[in-house]
Amino acid sequence: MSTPGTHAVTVDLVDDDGIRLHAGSDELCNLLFDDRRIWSFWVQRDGRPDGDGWLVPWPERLLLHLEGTTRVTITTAAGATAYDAEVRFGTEDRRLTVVDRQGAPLGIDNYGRLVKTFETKDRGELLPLLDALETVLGLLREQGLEAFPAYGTLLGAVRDGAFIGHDSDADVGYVSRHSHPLDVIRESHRVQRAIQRQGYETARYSGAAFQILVPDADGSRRGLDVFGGFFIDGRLALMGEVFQPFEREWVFPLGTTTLEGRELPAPARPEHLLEAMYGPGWKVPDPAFRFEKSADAQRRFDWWFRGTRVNRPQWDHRYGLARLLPPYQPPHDVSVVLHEREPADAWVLDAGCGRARDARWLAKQGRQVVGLDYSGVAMDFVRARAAEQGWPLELHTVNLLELRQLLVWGARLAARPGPRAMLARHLIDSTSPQGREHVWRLADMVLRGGHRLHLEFLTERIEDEEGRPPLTRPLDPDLVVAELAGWGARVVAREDLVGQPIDYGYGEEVSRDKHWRSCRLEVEWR
Amino acid sequence: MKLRGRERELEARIAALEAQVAECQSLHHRFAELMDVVTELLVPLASRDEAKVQETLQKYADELGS
Repeated sequence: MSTPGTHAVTVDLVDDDGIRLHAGSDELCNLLFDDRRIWSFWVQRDGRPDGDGWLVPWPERLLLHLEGTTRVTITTAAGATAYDAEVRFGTEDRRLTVVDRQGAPLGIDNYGRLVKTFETKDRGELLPLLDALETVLGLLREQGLEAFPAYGTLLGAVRDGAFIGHDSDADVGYVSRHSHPLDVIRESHRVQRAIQRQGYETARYSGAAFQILVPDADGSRRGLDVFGGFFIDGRLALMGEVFQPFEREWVFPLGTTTLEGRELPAPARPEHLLEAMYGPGWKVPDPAFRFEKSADAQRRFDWWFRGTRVNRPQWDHRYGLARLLPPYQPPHDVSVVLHEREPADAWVLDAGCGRARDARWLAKQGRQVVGLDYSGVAMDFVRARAAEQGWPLELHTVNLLELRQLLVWGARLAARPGPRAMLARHLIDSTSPQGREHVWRLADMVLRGGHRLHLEFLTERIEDEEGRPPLTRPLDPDLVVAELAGWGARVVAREDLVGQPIDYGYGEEVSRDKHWRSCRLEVEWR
Repeated sequence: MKLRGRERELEARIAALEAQVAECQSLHHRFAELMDVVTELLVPLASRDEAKVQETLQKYADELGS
């Protein structure tokens, strides 16, 4: 990226489509509505050629708010004002506001998200975050990890002694004393369990990164991300983005930095870590900064640590929206079949139960039902409804992509008495091959001794009319049957189906009149 | 012509090697998880304490986070 401010920016037009402008090189610009910064962008990176100039379209998240009149100001990184005029967006006759439902001001952060950035808050509002940051650093220190503020939080502290205005959360990093990914993962798991034991909720991102939820005074919870790192062959690998030659002395022994008046630990030479994170230009603020990911680093991180969150954020998002759906929906055919075929006293494990449409129905038929799903959003929602309505449902947020979770839950469920059956509807076609392997292992642990698995999966590719990537992908039934045979399981019934409703990530109602093919198998475990 | 064939061969070889490296590297993750569970379980198992085994499983599951 070129040095900002070396060429003039001329803005020709600001309207509902975006910003039309001319710039000699890729320039960093700040956009203000009624004197408040809303967004920052790089002309060429975020725009597209338009005639002999550029058109920078509005970020998707901002579009919803472009209604009414506002004074638009565009400044360059050098401080020049390139545009300053009243603009009317949409058709409504009112002042344009970019606020959330409670009226709190929002801004676009460097991930393109519309969030309550620090610059929208009073200093007093930042105190709980500072407290949470110190809590997390303390929790990690107790576990023997020398943690420090990382990424934007470290950048703000070292550069300005303050949070960065366009940032919206606080990050923490540590460099493990271990030098093998395997030990780094074990250590991260151990520390996560220890912190969970102390009463803090946690959520795992990868083998070396997780989130700690720290309660706020108002009862809400604030998630702080903890990124693990380690030295390998003279390089520092720090989850997220860093993988490059690095001296141990640049980290240890830790020094200090000051953030909003509080002294916090920091790498011995934080400037080296900041350069590794943000490049040599880290001293110059860039609210539109985007990490340029090195393909090699990403590949290594993927191999070492990732693969346990396949589409989980997407399902969380999907189930977040599903709150708006009507509470009662009829069961899917597969659970009706299960109910007919299984002994009346068999309890049911619904793996990947989602909003528990089937688990709920089966429970209402008088069966004991255990629902598992990796979407915490779905589980929180259903758990609340189950408590409200008195459904006899047992629900757990379990990520079967993690081997440790699968093994422990498999063992616990296997130890339950009585006949049992397992339901897995559009689970094996919504996960990775590794995830599918884990489903078979779970079934193997729980269903040994002649119990049955009721499976339904997609066999034909879904074409979404809006071109969105389906979260559920077809599987070849022969492959599935062969894999099951490898586990010593026997297919006792097979039905090829057309037109079963399926939620492939964007709501079931969309597919109601479609006729995608799927396959239903009843599988008996020896 | 010959060179291009050699290039394709090398590309295929690199792709195969990458896949093999990926396979090996991803084993660390599974192995680490397995060690974590086994370590926690072995102690009560060695002392043949069934109640403790159940308690360990319960505690482990409770501490998993999400």
